[in-house]
Formats: sequence, structure tokens, C-alpha cells
Amino acid sequence: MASNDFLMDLIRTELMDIVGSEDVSVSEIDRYAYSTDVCWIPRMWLDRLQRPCLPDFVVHPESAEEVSKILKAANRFRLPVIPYGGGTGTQGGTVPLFGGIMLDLKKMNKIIRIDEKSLTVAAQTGINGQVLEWELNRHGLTLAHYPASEYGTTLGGYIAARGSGTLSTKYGKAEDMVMSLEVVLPQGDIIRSLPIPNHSCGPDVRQHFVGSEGTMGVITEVTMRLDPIPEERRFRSYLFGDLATGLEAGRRIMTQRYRPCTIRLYDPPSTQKFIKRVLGIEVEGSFMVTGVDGSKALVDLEEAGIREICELLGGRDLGSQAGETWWKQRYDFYYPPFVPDLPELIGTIESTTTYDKILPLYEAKKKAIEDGYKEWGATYTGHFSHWFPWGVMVYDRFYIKRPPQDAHEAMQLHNMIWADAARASLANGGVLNDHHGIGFKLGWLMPEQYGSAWQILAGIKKMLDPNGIMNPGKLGFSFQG
Amino acid sequence: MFLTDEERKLTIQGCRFCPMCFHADTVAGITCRETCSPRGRALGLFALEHGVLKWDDPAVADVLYKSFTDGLPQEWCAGHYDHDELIIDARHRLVEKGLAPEEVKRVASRILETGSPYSDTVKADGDVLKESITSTTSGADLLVFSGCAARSLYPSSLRSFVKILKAKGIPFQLLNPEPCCGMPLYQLGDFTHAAQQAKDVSQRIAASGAREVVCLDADCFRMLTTRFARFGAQLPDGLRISHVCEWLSRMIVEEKWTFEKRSERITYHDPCSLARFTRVHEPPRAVLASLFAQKPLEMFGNCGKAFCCGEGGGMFLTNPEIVREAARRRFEQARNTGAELLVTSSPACAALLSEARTDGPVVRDLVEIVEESI
Repeated sequence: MASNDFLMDLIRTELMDIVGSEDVSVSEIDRYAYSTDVCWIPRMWLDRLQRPCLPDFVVHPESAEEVSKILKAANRFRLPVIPYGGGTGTQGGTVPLFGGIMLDLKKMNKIIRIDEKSLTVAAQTGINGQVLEWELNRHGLTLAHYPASEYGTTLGGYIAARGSGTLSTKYGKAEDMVMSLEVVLPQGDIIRSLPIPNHSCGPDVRQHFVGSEGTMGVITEVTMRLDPIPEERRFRSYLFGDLATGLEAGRRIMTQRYRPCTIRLYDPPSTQKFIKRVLGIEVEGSFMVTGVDGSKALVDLEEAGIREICELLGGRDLGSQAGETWWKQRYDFYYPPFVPDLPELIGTIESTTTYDKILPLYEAKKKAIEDGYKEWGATYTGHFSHWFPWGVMVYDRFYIKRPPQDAHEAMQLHNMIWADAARASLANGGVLNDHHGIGFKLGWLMPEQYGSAWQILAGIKKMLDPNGIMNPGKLGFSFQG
Repeated sequence: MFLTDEERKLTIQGCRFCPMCFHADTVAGITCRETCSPRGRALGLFALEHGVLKWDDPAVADVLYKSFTDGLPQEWCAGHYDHDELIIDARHRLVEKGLAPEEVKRVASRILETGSPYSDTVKADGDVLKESITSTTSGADLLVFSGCAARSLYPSSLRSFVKILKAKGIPFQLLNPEPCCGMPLYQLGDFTHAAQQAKDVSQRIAASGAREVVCLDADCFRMLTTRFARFGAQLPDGLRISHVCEWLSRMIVEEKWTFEKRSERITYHDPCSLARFTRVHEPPRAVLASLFAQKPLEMFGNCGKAFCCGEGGGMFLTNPEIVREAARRRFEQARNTGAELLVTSSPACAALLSEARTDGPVVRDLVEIVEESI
């Protein structure tokens, strides 16, 4: 980190020389805007008027070559570099813990090529997720990646944090869509992964950067797999008496190898907390939305098969209206005032595991939170929204309505609850996170999660980024500057 | 003034950490800066409110005057926070503190001197008003409020409308000289001068004895219908205020105007003031349906979700490069429809989109198209 004004001005001159003076900012208001993402802790920190983590510079490159020059300069000055896309992450992945250069990639927003024959798109990674989708739709194509944060995200953020969308059950997570990548390595070399994802040419370089959260380099261009816009897409909803029956219905749908584009199962507390408030539907029990898409014949077939499974288990068919309403308003849950927000203390502590372990995992986390933090009146809700052939993700949250007023105390409490929830996930065959990423929030638990396998990630990091300049303090890696 | 203290507080709280409308903010899309997004602006205002940032930092004014205040982020917002009014309110605070950019400070005096906010290089007046005045009838029921853009930037709209009225034998009057309605001043946060202009216009309208005012400019229409009363400018009871597209649509039905149908492929750009602030979507399309054989090829982003062409927020005064880029993008969306004609219904939008045209559809104000067909 730069230590005095003289040095700061020196660095600023270099940065301006690389990207132009308009694209380097040191203004207070710019630096303040980049001091947080959607992570609860830095937001709470700002809300309570604590001194935030500020970047020293906000820089807007337009090409991989500019990024390369910036990284070379940053290495010479041992200055942290934080790649920034949409700032929609919830784990503090873009918070500039050690100051440094905030590398906002949003000017790198060009679509390079849409291949309508192979159904792929190559684009710079700063393009906004919704803008990309609009452009693909003009060609009758879709990325089919609809995260709740789509309107604010960037393509690079999808990949760097292993994002997932509401239709991931059929179309996969962001990592499944990546064909190839261009990456600027921490010391400035520009590399490309192999042009296609499936091969027999050794370990996959491409997947090493997927999910790396800016700690291994800057992903500057990506080629993604696409899908045609389906002829038909239909949603339906069902109501189950309890969560376990709903989970069993979902498991049967997936293991009988139907391919719904979505299954979204809400536990009874979240059915009560959100479904009525956002969708205006008054139901009790476990509410499930299912979606199918494709040709009309396929949709008819899959919809009938899924209905048969649900009804056999006592699921009440609520028809198509509630499901279609959910689809139209699927992002409304994430807008204020609908999204849980400050002053409430909240955290999305999601995880994924196999079908045999999912209910015990859910129950263990519920117990860890509601019993462990009873004196704070902690509550827990979950829904199950990303289904795999072998298991399912639980998107669960904790809430404390009246957290400590003291910012430091609130931070400690938040971290403690999260750690307990994460350890309950690990103890029950789960992982730290399915698709919200790691950031600084969970980084400290990465060595614990990986055990002796951590040395592989740590070794690669050390080789690629000996000065530790790339997004320090995230994903379990430290700053060497 | 337009937000209560409570609404202001809730809007800052709602927007300051929310990234959900970045895609709908044209300035954010062009500048690619977090600070120029609804979230960044609201977070900045939160910090200003609490003394973390200082109002007198020139970067603050720079950020707050980079917004089209076009209502599109609010249109996408499930919480319906009025981000745009929040920004106009913040600009007002800058003006009150004497911290607005120089160009903003100059605009009031320019309006008083020339009757128009447009730059000194544009001849504001003008000749079109003088030639149109010769056709007016004192005390006529219909008063045409042309607006600054139709008097200076895009006079063809006023000329065409006068020709329509003459051709149909409809008596009308104009204000001479016609004051600016105050809309640019309101958008720039100069509420004192906006109120003065609004009161001046309302008194002049009252003195004219007109029973209906037809606005050629969408922004003037918004100002008269939704902002005059809040600025203490009282219009006469029973006065009907219409945008020209509404008036034309009504005439086509009530007076049974018929036209020989034209065959060009057309598209329509909804001005923000009609698209969102007054919800006038159907009348211009009804007029086009009476003129053309084919329905408009709708642009990507239309009606309530239409993108700003760059005219909003007084940005033409403070950030002309961003305005040009917004116009270029909007024109590109029109070109993508494959249309031969790009029709809009506000002279200011027509002027900006015409400037953005290199090839592709020819830009016309709706009034010009009607006049060509009469």
C-alpha cells in the first residue's frame, strides 16, 4: 500500500498514463462508492458511520493490455488490485481491505462475437448481465443465466464467483457455461485457456480461474455456451404439508432424470415470510414452484411427469398462476423494501450437499442458529433452489431483528453465527458456499474446509502472485505487500 | 420540495446499497462508474447527509449532475423509490449552497435574456415564432405552447403544427414572447427561478383567455400538468392541457380526419416525459395508425421502459458528451428495428436523434408527419 502523497502521485501518474486521466479517480465520492458491495458487514459499517475500507484509486481499463500494464505497475509498488464488476456480491469479495487499486472492469463491455451456429458468445467481462442477455435475445438466443442480481451484475462476476441463476437446475451454473477464458495473470502475462471445455489434455486451466474471485488474475474475456430461447416455458406451483415431503418430491423429479428448468421449494417459515408479502399468495406449508421449458411436446411431457410425482406425494397442485407470477416477479424479493435489510442483522449462509444429507444439514443449521443464538432471538429460513442430479442447494438465511448497536459487536456476532452455520454445513457433508462465493466473509474458513488439499490452491496462488497483490484478504489468501 | 423529509430518507435508505437498477440508468451504462449509478449517488448522499463527504467537493456536484433523471430506474424498481426526484432535490441543495456548476448558474440568466436554456450559439427566439404569430387569432380558445426546443432547436415542429391548424381552419393563439416553462430549471435544481417561470407562464396563459393549451414539447407538457401547482403556479380552472399527440389523436377521432395510408416502415421513440411521467403511450400510436399501413416496429425499450435519448435532466447543459452518446445509443435501437422513419413526439427528442443520425431511419416529429399527410 502506498505510504505517502508523493508516492501516491507517482502511482497516479503511471495509472493515468495507462488508461487516461479521465479513467483514474481519487475523489472521495468515487472511492466511497467502491467501499462496499452487498455484503452485510461493510454495509452495516457504513450505516453506523464507521471509517470504511477505501481504495486509493478507482481505475477503469478498456482492454486486457491496459489491465496487464496496471498489474505490472501494481507489482512494482506492491499495491493491492481489486477487480470489480457489478459489486453485487454478498461475501465482501470486492471490499478493498488493504486499499489499493479498484479495477472497475465495466468499460470492458464489448460483445466480440456471437456464433449462431455453435451457440456461443465471446465478450469482454465487464458487460452488464442484463445488457448481454438483451443483446442475445435479439438473436433468438439466451445465456439462460438469471441470478437475482442480474440487473447489476457483470459477466465476469458470474464466473469469478461461480454464480447461479434461477434456471440453473436445467442450464447449469455459470461455471458450466464457460467455454474458454482470457486472463491477465497477476504479473501481467495475458493467457488463454484451450478453446473448448471438453478434452483430454490434462487438468483444466480454465476452471482454475473460475471462482477465483480476482485472486489469481483478472478474467478479461470469456466465451460462453448459449441456448436458443425455448419455444415454451411454463411454471406451476404445488403445496406440500411439510418440507421433507417437498424435498422428496424434488429428489424424485431429479433422480428420475426429468429436466425442469427450476424447482424452488420454500420451507414453511419462508413460505410464511415471503410468499404472501411478495407474491400476495396466502398459503401454509412448503410452497414449491416448478418450471419446464423447451418444445411444446417436451414441456407437456415433463409437466405431466412432474405433476404425477408431486401429487403422488400429496402435493396440492396450485395451478399455473402462482408459478407464473413467481417467474414474473422473481427478482422482486431482492428489492428494498422486500429484501431483508439493515437494521436487521442477516446473512445468507447457503450450502449444497447430496440428497441423503440435505435434511440433516438443514436441521443442523437451523438448530445451530435458533438454539445457539436464542438470546438474540435469531430465526432461520431456507429455500431449495438449485437442484443437481445428485443433490440440492439450500439457500438459507439467519435474521436477528435487534442486533447490537455497536458496530464492532455487531460484526463479531455476525461472524460468529456465520462460522457456526458454515461449520454445521461442513459437518453434514456440505460446502462453505454454493454460488455466493467466499470473499473475506468465508475466506478464513477455506483452509479448514479443504484440509490438506488447501496446499494445492495456496501453492498455485504463491506461484502466480508472489506479491499477493490480487484481491488480498479474499478466498483465504493474504497480502504480501 | 417534491419529496417529504421522510420520503427522502427512505429513498436514500432504499437505494444506497441496492444494485438492482444499474441496467436501467443510461448514465451508469455510459460512464461505467459505480458513482454514477442510483446506488452510488444514493450512497454519496447518505455520506453527505452525515458529514462523511463534503458538499463543497466539486466531485460531488459533478456526480449529481450526471443523471438524466428520466424515471427509468424507478420504472424497474419493485420498491418504486423515486430516485430521480431524490437527485433533483440534491441538485436543489447544491444550488441553494451556491455549489452548482457554473453552467447551471448561468442558465437562469440565459433564460431571462433569450427565453431559452439552449446555448448561446443557438439562435433562440425566434424567427419561427415571428412567422407563426402572423397566423394567430387573438382570444382564440386554443393556445399553442411551443416550448423552447420548437422555437430554437427544432422549429419544424411549430411550423408544421401551424400549417395543420391553418389547413383545418382552427383559430389559435401563441404567447409572444413565449417564456420558458421552467422545466430545465426544475431539473437542474434551481427551484426559485423554475417557480418564477412557471408563475409567469401561468399568468400569461390566464390572460390569454384560452380554454385549451396544446404543448408541442413533452417536457413542457409534464411541467404544466405535474409541476406547476407544486411551484405555486395556478392555471385557470377548467383549462384543458394536452400534449399535441393527444390533441391530434382526439381530432382524428372527433373531427374524422382521414389520411391516405403511407407504406413506410416506422418506429416510435417515447419521450421520457410522456413515457413515464404522464403515461401517454397510446395517443401517438393511434395517430401513427391513422397515417401508416403498418403498425410501428416497436423499439427495444418502449412505452414505460423507453430509454432516454439524452434530453433528460438538463444534461445537455452540463454533460453534452454523455448526451450525444445516449442519443447515439437510442438511435441505434431505432435502426435495429429496420424502420425507415423514426418518429417521436417532442421537438427536443427529434433534434437530438436527428443529430445522432448518420444513416438509417429519417427522424421526424409526429407533427411533421401529420402535416405532410394533410
